[in-house]
Amino acid sequence: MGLNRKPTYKEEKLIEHLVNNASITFSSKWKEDLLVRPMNDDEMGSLLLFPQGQIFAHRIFGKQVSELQFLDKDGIEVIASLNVDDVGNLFELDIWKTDFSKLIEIPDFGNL
Amino acid sequence: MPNPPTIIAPPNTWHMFKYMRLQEAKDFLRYGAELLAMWIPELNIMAVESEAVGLLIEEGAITREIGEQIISEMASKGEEPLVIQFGNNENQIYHTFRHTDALGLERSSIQLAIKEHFPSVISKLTNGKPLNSIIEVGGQRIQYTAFKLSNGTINIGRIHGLK
Repeated sequence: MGLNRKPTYKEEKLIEHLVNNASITFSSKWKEDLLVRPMNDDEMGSLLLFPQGQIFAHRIFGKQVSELQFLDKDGIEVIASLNVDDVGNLFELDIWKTDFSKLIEIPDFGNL
Repeated sequence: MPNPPTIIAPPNTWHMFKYMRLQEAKDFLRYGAELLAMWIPELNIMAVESEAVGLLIEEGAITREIGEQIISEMASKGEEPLVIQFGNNENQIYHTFRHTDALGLERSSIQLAIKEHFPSVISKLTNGKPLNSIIEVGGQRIQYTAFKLSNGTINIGRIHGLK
């Protein structure tokens, strides 16, 4: 499992797209001090999310609030889901490349 | 991963099950394959059953006629071997089951439940689109997502509990 870090530009834009289309409303400050940590998913690109840079262990999955589907560079379908924890805070960016292979590149959702 | 269990009897003793009747043989094959599938997530139950038929004939556990009848029934159902995967290595499988691991649910129970449930919804699966389904395992409602690859393989992901 990787270290906590700030999201890359493309990761942040993907999360932003999911936040904007979520079934719940997030604080307008959700981006502030957001830290991420890559998950042990064999490099499919999933991230644990830590709002306000607060690192808590033992957080519990609450529900999925948003999802989108895109094609990776190799034409394989990828499903990105935004999950919140049991108290409604950003919890995970779940990226599932549907053939379980490594994600090549997140598209630029900043240009939509 | 633990070693697979002995499936009813080791293959070299299958001849002791002399000349099973058709339904006995089918039950024997399905039970053994499902037991193996609890240890090997990527196992294709139908493919195992097909291969095992040949071995059972060789060992004298079923007659050639019974074996051919079983194969014929499988073919007549028009069933392509259904390959259902939950990941190809430890990290991918962990990713698939991480939420249900946290709920204390056995992966093998979930795999079996999905493999039993999925054929009932396979007709709803559209190429290129995920299909979400809800089942109950261990008293807990869970949702899983199925996705069909271009080679026909069904991959399962995003398994999580529902409140």
